[in-house]
Amino acid sequence: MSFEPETSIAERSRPERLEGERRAVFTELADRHLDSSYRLAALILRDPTEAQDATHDAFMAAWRSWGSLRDASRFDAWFGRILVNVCRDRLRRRSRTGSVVDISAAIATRGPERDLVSAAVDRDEMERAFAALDPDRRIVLVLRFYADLTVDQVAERVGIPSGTVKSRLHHGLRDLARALDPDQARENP
Amino acid sequence: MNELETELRLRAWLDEQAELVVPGELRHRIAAIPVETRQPWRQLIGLPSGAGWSAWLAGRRWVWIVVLGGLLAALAAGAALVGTSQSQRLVIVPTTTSPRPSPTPPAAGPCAAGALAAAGGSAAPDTALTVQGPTDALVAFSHPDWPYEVWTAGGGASGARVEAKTILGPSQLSDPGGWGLDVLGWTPDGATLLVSTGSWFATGPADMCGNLYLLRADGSALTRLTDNHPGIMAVGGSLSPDGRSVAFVERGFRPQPGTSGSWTAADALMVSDASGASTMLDPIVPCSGAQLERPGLTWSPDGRQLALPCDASIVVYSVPGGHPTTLRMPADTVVAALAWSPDGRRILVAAPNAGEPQDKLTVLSFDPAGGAATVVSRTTESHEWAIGFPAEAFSPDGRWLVATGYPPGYSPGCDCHSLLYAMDVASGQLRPVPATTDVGPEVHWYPDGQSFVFHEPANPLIRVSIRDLSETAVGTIPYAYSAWHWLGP
Repeated sequence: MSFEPETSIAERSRPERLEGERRAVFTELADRHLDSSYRLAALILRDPTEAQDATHDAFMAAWRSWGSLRDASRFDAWFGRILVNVCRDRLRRRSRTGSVVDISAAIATRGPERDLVSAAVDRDEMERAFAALDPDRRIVLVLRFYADLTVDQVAERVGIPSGTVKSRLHHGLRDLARALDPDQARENP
Repeated sequence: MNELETELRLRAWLDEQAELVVPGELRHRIAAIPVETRQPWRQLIGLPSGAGWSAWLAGRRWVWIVVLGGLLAALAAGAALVGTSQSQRLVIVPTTTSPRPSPTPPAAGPCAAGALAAAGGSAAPDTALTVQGPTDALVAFSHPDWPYEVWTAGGGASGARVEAKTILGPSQLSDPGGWGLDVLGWTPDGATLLVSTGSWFATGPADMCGNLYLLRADGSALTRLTDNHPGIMAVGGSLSPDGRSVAFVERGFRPQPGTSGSWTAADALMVSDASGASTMLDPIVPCSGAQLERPGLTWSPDGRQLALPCDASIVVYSVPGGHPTTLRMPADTVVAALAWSPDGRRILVAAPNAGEPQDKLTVLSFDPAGGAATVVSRTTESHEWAIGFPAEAFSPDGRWLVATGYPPGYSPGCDCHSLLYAMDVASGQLRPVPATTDVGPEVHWYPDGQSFVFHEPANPLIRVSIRDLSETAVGTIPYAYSAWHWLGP
C-alpha cells in the first residue's frame, strides 16, 4: 500500500504546475455554469443588477477558494453552495435596509407577446407574492422547483437539515397560496 | 388553492422568469463589469448597485464632501486593487453560446450494409395470417427474428382486404444490419407505414446509423426520408395527423471533448415532408433524457404543434418553427402518458410519482401556451405502475386512460400478476380489465374512443368496450413480433 500526499483537484489538474492551466480549468467550469448561475441568482434576488453582482461575487469567492475543491465533479454543488450563500447574504442585507426590488429590467424583453390579460395578472400576483416571501423560504423554493434539486440536495446546498428544507418548502408554498388567494388566507389564518 | 396547484403555478412562473434572461446578453453584461475595482469597493463600504445610486446619494449630501476630501486616497486604493486582481478577470470571459456542432461528416459514404445481407437472407416461415371478425382495421408488425419483414393485414379504409409480407433487402436499405425494422405508425388513409431502421443501443458511430422510410402497405414502394451517415440516426419518428409530415429526432454521436474513445449524443428536432425535405425545429433538444419512445413526440390535432416529454418537463414546439414553451412537471413526477385534447387547447399528462414503488396516478392538464397546469383527477388507490403506459394511453376524446399496473399490495418478488386498468379521467376511478393478466402495455384506441384493442402473444387481438369492459376477439397475430400498430376504421 502506498500513500500519496493529499492534493486538491486544482493541484492534480496541473501536473506541470502551470498557473495558466489552473486558470483554464476554472475558466472552463465557470463559463459552463455562468448562465445557470445567473438565472438562479436572478430568480432568488429578483433584481438583475444584484443578480449580476451576486454571480460575480460567487465566482470571485470560488476563485479565491479554488484550491479547496478536491473533486472536480463536485464543482456544481460546491459552487452552488457559494452562490446560494452570496444570495442569502444579499437578501438578508436587503431586508435590513428595506431596499426596493426592481424587476422591471428583467421583464422588459420577451419573445412573442402573450396577449392573455389573465396571464399577465397571474404573473404580477406571483411576483408580489414571491417578493414578500421570507428569504430562506424563497431560496429553497427556487432550488427545489426551478433547479429541480431533491430535498437532500437542497439541504446540502443551503447547509440545513432535510427536515428544515421540507418545512420551508411547505411554509413557502402555504405563504404563496395565501398571498395568491386572499379568501384562503381569511379562512385559514 | 392547494399546495400542488401552488407548486405548479410557481414552477411555471419560475421557468417563465428564467427565460427572460438572454444568455448571450447576460454574458456580455457580466463581462462588462469592471470586476477588479467595483466589487471590493462596494463590499467594503456598502454602496448600492445600479439604479439605487441616485436614491442613495440624494439622501446623503455629506457624501460629496467626503468624496472631494478623500479623492486622492480613493484613487490610490483603486489602483492597488486593479493591480492585485488581474488574474481574476479571466474568470468571466464572454463567449458566445455554442451552436450545435455540425453533424459528423460521413466517414465512408452512406451506412455500410453490414450484416443486413445475412438478416435479409433468412425469411420467416410462410405462416397464414388471419384477421377475424369485422375487418375494419389494419395491423402492421415486424418480427424480431426476421428483422427485415413488415407484415400488414386487415380490411383497410376502402374495405379491400390487404395482406402483405414485405421483405426488404440490402438493395433497399443501406443501414447496418442486425437491428431490423421498427413499425412506427400508419398514415390516416391506411396506405403507408412509417418504419425506421437502426439501434437504440448504439455506443458510437461504428454501430450507429439509422434512417426513416415510408413503406407502401402492400410493399410496392419504399421512400427513404433521411440520408444519414455513420454516427447519425433518426429516432422517435412520428407521423403528423394528416400523414404528410414526420417529426423525428436526429441523434448525432460525436467525440466527447477532452476524452479519447468517449462519445456524447446530441439531439436535434426535425420535421420532414414526404419527399424527405427536412426542417430543423430545434438544434439541441433541451434535455438529456428526451422520451422518444413512449409517449414520445406527440402532434397536436391540427398538426401545428409538437409536444416532447423531456426529463421532468414537456417542451411544446410550433411547426414549422418558433419559440418553444417548456411546461414543468410537479416535483418527483414523470410524464408517463401524454395526449392533446381534441381541440388542441390542452395537453393531458398522466404522472405517477417517480421513485415510489406504488403510488397514485395523477392526471394533469396543461395549457400548451405555458399557462398554469391544473389537476384533473387523482386515483384513490395506489398501484405499481412500473410496467409501462401505452403510447395511446389516453382515449382520443381524453375521457379515458389505460395503463398496466399491479394490484394494491404488490411487492417485489411476490407472486403477483399485472392487469390493465381503465381510469375515468374526470373522476380518477379505476376499473381492472378482466382477463388481462400480464399483457404487454401496448393498446390502440378506436377513433370514437369507445373501445380499444390489446394483444397478448399467442392469443387473439382483443377489442374491449370501455363502457362495460366486455371483450371481443378481432384478429390474430401468428407469431411474436417486435412492434405492432393498429389503424382503426
